[in-house]
Amino acid sequence: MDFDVASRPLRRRLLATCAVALAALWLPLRAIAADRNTSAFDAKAMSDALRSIGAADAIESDQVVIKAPDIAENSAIVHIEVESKLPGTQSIWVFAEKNPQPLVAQFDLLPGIDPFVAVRIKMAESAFVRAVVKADGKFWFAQKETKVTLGGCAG
Amino acid sequence: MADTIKMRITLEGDTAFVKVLMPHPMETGLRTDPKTNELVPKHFIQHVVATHNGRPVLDAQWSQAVSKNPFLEFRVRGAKPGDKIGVAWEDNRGENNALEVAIK
Amino acid sequence: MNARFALAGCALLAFGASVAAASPEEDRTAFVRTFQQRFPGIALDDYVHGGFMFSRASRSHYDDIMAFPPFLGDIERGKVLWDTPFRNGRTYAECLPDGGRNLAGTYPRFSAAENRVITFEMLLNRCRRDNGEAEYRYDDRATMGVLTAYARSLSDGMRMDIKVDGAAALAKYEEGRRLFFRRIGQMNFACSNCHLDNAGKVMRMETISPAVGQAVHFPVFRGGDELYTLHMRYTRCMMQVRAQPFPAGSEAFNNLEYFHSYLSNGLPLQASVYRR
Ligand code: HEC
Repeated sequence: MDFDVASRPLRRRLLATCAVALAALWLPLRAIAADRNTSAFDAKAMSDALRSIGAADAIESDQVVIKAPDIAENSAIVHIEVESKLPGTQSIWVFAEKNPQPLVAQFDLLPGIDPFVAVRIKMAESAFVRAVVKADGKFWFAQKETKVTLGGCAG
Repeated sequence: MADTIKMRITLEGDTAFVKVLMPHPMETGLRTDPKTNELVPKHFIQHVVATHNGRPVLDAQWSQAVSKNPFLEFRVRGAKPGDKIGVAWEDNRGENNALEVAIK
Repeated sequence: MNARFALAGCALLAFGASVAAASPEEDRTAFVRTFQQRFPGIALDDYVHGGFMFSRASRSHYDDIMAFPPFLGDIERGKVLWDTPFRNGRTYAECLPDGGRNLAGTYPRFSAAENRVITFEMLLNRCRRDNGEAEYRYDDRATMGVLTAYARSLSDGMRMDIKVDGAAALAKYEEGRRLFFRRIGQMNFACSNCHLDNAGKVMRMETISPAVGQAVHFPVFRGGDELYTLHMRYTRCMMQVRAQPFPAGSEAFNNLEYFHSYLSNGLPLQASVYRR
């Protein structure tokens, strides 16, 4: 494993990479924050969550590429990647269909970023992981079934 | 928060591949503390912003179902050595943290 | 949970259980031959991936997580402990040959002077003791756990090289071997029933890892989060078959680790990895 960057003492690492920890960075950023769509995040049914983001009529598309494991060994950590090949991609949502609240994440893409995100999520049980993409004002989706092997006997 | 954000950036052409870890317990509110037998209150990062030279490129809203010590990867176009990539988060208790790193 | 576990357990096959008592090298080659015949096409070096070696999908998910593992903070904490001098100003690196690099793969070792097996974690504790510090508990994640997670990573890539020289060393090895093959607990299972006879089989959606390759990649972070040293994992498996587990750092586990590590001779070390 490569601990080079991560394991050097913090101060030296900061100097080495010219990194600056700026808690203050947050303050100007929160001003631009999109409003949180609480009804979508609180929704308990997939259909309600989709309706709340305006994607009730989303169409399945092979231009949305979702990578999720066939089997996630541990439901607490499921690595997901979503890439959109649709021009004008504005937002990406990640849903775990059988979670108590299916909407896990919303990513609003701003100019200068590739239409790609990777994130690790918790899944309550085996389910479809669904990626919804908004591109040029229209909604598209792709999904992938992931089996999770819950905290088993061998534990 | 004892741990700082960790960021790794690799530049391929003019695309910066950015991987981030944000140490955070990400409590769902459904977990029982084995010691006290009580539910641990919900505590999770709910808002993340990424910047390129100070300009926001990604604005994310999360639920408590993002894994503990969240991982995020994104790709910034038009990047070059010396450019700065920043990540900042805020959780549901109003705690926040941020890190800005120059591309090598 | 345990009732279901028992059912799954009863369905396990017991075949080829008896690898006859032999020299350590004969043991190792018998284990390796058994596994390689059963799993043709899997390179021996891949055995460090345990249950993940059997499935491309599991392996690729493992690789995605290891590309930037969520437990880096724990390894950093271990490095802080490693770098922080003892009160007398000395450090672990000064206490160990070659600054502690490429060392973990030569432990456990048999000490003839003490007539006992010394593990790598004991070595770390001896550095502490010899420099006037209190020893860490072997099952304490926040101290020994993270310290060894970092310290063992200094040996990543080296090949396991355990030596069993002389009758006294062999006696300890044999003791560890006996524990591995002994049926224990209310469920009456030996380590060998699972990690030799039924390696590669899926037990309640979890693929059982072969004994070869198990000792080279500890500690593990289960669920990407919860640190387990090798001895803590032994404890866990003993509890699962409802046996009274030996404590981490006990002589029984030291001897088991001696035998168990020898089986992985020649395999590359890779400390601190993700496990289910
Ligand atoms: C009833 C079956 C069973 C028995 C008996 C058993 N184990 Fe396990 N063991 C498992 C399962 C299942 C796992 C988790 C999957 C895996 O990694 O093998 C596991 C995991 C392990 C691991 C971690 C492997 C890794 O790559 O992370 C080690 C080490 C281990 N066992 C050692 C032992 C030892 C030593 C004994 C005897 C004291 C033992 N086990 C007894 C089923 C068993």
